Amino acid sequence: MGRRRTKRLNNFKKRLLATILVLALATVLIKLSVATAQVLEPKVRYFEVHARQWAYKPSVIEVDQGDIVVINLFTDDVSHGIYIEGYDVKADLILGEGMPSNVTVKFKADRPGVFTFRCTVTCGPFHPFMTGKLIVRPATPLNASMGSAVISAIVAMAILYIWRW
Amino acid sequence: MAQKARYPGYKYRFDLLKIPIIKRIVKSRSFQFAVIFPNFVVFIILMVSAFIGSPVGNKNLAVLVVWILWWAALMIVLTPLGGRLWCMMCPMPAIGEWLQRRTFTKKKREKGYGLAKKWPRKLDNIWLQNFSFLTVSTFIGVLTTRPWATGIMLVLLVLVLPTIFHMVFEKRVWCRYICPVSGFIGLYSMVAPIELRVKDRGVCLKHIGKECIRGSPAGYGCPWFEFPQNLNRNAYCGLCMECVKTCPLDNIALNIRLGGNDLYVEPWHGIKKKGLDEPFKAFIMSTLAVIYALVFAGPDPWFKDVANIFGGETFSRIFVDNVLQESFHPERLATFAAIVWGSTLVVMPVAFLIFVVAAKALSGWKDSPPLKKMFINYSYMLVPLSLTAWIAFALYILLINGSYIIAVISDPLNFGWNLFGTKDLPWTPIGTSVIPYIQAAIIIFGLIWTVNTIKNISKAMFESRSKAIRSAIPIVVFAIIYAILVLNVWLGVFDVRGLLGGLIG
Repeated sequence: MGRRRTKRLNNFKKRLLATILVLALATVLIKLSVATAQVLEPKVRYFEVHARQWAYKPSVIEVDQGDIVVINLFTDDVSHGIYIEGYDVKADLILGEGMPSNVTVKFKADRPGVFTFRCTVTCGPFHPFMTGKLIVRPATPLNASMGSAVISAIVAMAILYIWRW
Repeated sequence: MAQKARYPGYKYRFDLLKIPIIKRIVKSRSFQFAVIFPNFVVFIILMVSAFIGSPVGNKNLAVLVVWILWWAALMIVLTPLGGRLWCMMCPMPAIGEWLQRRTFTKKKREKGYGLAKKWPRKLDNIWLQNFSFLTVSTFIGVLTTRPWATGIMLVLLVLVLPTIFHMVFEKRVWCRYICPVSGFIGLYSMVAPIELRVKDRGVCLKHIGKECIRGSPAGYGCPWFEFPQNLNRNAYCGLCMECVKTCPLDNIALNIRLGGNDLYVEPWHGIKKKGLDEPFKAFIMSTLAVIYALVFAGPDPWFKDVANIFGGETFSRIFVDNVLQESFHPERLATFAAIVWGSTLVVMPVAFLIFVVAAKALSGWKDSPPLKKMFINYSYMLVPLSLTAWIAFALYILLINGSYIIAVISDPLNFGWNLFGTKDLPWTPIGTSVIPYIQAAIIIFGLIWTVNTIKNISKAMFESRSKAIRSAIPIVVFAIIYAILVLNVWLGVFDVRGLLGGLIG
């Protein structure tokens, strides 16, 4: 009984130490991130995007957090559209007489992350899977690794807990 | 030396057959027909819809139900929570089994239709299921977007092929050895919180009758070629409930469980040995979870183009008699087939082998189990990891494209109906701002679950605790790399360039 209790106590100490280490690491990263944060001047970023069955060109758009993004959508074949997940902005480009030859979406990229954009007009068999990516880089380069750092910390902590040393 | 395996037990088990109403229902001879027949009718409607409904994939009931609703139901609910629950109600073997038995529900004494040939012993594995799933995956770009292709697939998989196999071979050869769906359901059913087992194996070992495999006036011998007294994994029990009906000693339990050791044990209490067929199923599923994500949600047009073996510029012009006439691109088929077959059968297994070699080296080359055994045993850690990758995929597809289904059910056959007033519902993606967080949580949960699984597999292989831990380290690294890959495909959270920029700048 005594040995078991000592073993449990040792295990508890090790887990406590691991938790403190991981929390300390996360705190340092967050502190660093806040310290290096800069207020960037928002820029207007203009993109000419061409849609075809079933792809966008460019298929990946990169901007900085805070930028005003203007996407001018053209089509190289049939009717298409654009919808940006997470930002919920949308425009349809319908071909036809009297219809515009391009459409524009404009929004402020205030949320960092990777967002899928996709076609909104049924343009053929692969329409539901006609997608591109909008990458909104966080305000500071260090922030860019924050997501991975936090996730890594969670995983590391979980692994340390699961592994009964 | 590697020692005898130590298996972790269960945290909780409860026999659902202790509830009288459930026991009465599953013991009824009408039970299986009652759960299969509605699905049979639904799949017939889907077949009709595939051929006479809208020729546009995202407006066709068959395409939407099969590839969005059914796939999501399988991956998110039915398999993770119910194991082979879908196999219990699957309509694919229906016609064949009805013909084999010459009845819908009863237990008949006279011989049914068909040749009742024995299945070759050499094929007593799931290699054919691996190949049938890869074949379906090779054409996935067409199947998920062209109603006629989905229609042909449904006719083949629900009506033609299972019936032929039932008429040539005995019992459910189709389900056990060939069906492309059954293979991965069997793999993932091993982590499901439901299981069919005998209550007391000792009772079975002493009992001479063996009605569970021979059959009795109450029911048929196990159609899945299982021997209930030897069941210690969910992999090949189709939950048909025949053994519940035939067991004269009331020794069958249908447990809900927490824990379980399906991934760590040798099949049939060591009577059967694990082969490479199940590990390769795990490689296939884990690799395809990434490839499907790249094809159906990735930004790279190249993946979509090679997966889409038909079409191209012709789409805008050619519609003849409501049928889409498209050109065929054999070079795309060859490229995509090479990606699907090569990545799953060569790249992934070789990558995994490298980590297993490292695991063997770290645990002491001479004193560890044979390399093949370690390769096979550790491969089961991919089961929880790839399952969560598939859940992340299915959830995304369901939430983004699910509204198409609500619109199409008002006019399933393209007759101009508006049955539920939803025909003109615009495409409405759901939860786009929270989906990435949900996906991240699912994948991280999968990684934690996997690490726990690796620990248990390692403990079962090594007597020495320190060797078990050392051996597991490379496998944990492999799991983390896979999880990062999946997270990156979906979320791009590991911004390597950003991290480097942060460190340098």
